[in-house]
Amino acid sequence: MNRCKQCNINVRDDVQICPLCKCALEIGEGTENKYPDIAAKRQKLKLLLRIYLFVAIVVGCTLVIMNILFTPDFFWSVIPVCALAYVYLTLAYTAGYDKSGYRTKIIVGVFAAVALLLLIDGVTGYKAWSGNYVLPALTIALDIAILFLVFINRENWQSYLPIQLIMIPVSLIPFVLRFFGLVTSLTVSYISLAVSVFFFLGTYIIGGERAWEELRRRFHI
Amino acid sequence: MAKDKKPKKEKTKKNPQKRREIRWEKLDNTAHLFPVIAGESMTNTYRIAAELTEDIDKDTLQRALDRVLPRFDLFNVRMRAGVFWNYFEENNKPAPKVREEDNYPCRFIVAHKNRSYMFRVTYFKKRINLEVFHVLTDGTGGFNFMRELVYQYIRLAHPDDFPEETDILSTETSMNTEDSFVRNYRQKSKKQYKTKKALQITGTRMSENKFGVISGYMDLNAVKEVSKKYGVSINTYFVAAFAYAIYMEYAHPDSKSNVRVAVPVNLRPYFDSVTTKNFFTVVSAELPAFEKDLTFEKALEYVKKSLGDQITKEHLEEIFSYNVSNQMMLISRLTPLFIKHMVMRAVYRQSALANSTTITNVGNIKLDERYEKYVTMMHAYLAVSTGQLTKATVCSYKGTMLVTFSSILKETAVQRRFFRQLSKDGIEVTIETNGVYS
Repeated sequence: MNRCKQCNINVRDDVQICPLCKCALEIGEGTENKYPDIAAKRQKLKLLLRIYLFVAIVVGCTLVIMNILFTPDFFWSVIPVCALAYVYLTLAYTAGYDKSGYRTKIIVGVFAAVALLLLIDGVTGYKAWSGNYVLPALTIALDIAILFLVFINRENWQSYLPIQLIMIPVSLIPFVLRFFGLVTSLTVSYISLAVSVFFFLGTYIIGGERAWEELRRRFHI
Repeated sequence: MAKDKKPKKEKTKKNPQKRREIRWEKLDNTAHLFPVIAGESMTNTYRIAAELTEDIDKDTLQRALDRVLPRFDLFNVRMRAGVFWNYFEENNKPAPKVREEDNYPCRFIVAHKNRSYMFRVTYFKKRINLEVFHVLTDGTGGFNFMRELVYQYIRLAHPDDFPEETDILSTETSMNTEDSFVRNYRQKSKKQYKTKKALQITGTRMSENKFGVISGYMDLNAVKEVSKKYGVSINTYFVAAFAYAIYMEYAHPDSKSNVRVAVPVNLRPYFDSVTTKNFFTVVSAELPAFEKDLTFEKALEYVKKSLGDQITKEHLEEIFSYNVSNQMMLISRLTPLFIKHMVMRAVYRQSALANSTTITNVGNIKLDERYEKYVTMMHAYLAVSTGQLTKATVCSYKGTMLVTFSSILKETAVQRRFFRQLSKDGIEVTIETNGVYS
């Protein structure tokens, strides 16, 4: 056993310096390191993200400068800059944020994409295609993806019911946007709403007692 | 010759468990907070470890876990978010994979990883580690599970020594999962916890989620003798030594904040409970940091008085009753979870700095004598938290006392001061670390 004369204690670690006072130890026998040597874990993904961030800043700034110099009347550089930002934020969120599960990540990713498309639509003179078609179409895509997950994860199919329920108010968003004039046609939105409602009802009715139990758990007070 | 009739295929249920109702449980009163505040920097995870006489075999440990886990409803769950509350739901995935330790202790347990379990089992050389997210249970519940895991491992590793026993549970193991907070709370209690900022242990943080562990081994009888000499309990002696070390290192005459050491108290003995869920509350011992030339003897007096005043059944009941009565109010029950989270975060931020540190005494760990010869030492320690960057855990096993400091600070001044005090009092101390300080 090593001994620190300053602290007047024994040190079991196989070291030469006292961990408490950093003074040299009197070296003895019977020492052992009981913990693994944790090498710094290489975080390749985070490095790639940082490289991407740097490249995206350089490219974005170049595009903005070109935009100002050559076409100052049309601010087109907003679109690629937002696209670059979207890719970065999506990657950082999906790869770097452990607290959220894959379901939350998919939903956040899809709605960030909707926001990006709304922005692109706005910059290009707002023809309302983003609100009329893209938003409800992506909502339908999300509904289908959730249904797909219900079949894939059959043992826990009931755990997707709350998300299916959330998709109903989500598919009502275009109807709200209509009041603000951001949506001019509701045809696809009606289909999207119907899909959300029927997918939820289908899972709930066919699921029977287990579906009811799931909702009871989720809404317990 | 008549053809032999093919035997009718016996209709068997594929998995009867799938057909029955999914088991679910509400979180206990303290558990509501942990998912809100937990993250990489504040993991709310604690480790219990058993050191055996032989190197651990990974496959045997996995088999032991596979057998033990289904019997522990409390551990066999995943956490789900409801509209108003988080809750536990039966986890029908296989037991989490046993891994060789390859990271720092008490890392964050991510809800949707590790097969959605709220604990992990690792091993290194002769040591089995169980790391538990506090949302599941406190140290008592953790030991309850760890004991069975170790017993099962020993039985599988030494079948010749246990020829008749298979998966039996030991008689001291509890399977009770009642919420003893709700069962024992008293309505209309006043707020008991402090929010005034305490003197903080500050220093340089270690990089990259590093986590330092310093364990001090000492003879239990020597500690008993010293505390008897001072006329205090072992617990009071260690709390005072820790508080005094902080005072000596950080206090000065202009200090406006006191040294305040949080001491978790196991409520089971006071309320006749055998629950395996969380059932503890926290009291605190205080030293006036502005007082000049405070001696260790005087510090012992302060600690003895403040702990003595607080650790009574009535006071303990008052402390947890305030939180439980808030939880039981209809308005808080009907508040959506995300709003509750915002409120809890704000309240936690207010009270997190009210203590300088935490020291918890797990007590004397006893194993069944048939298994005791295979286990040389039991360990326990906590993760750090906001404002409490160094914490301590005390436990004893087979006549050896173990005080373990966990910290994310590079400096070890408090630990040094603590162990030097013990050494000055005549206690022979042997320390070991997890290697981050060398």
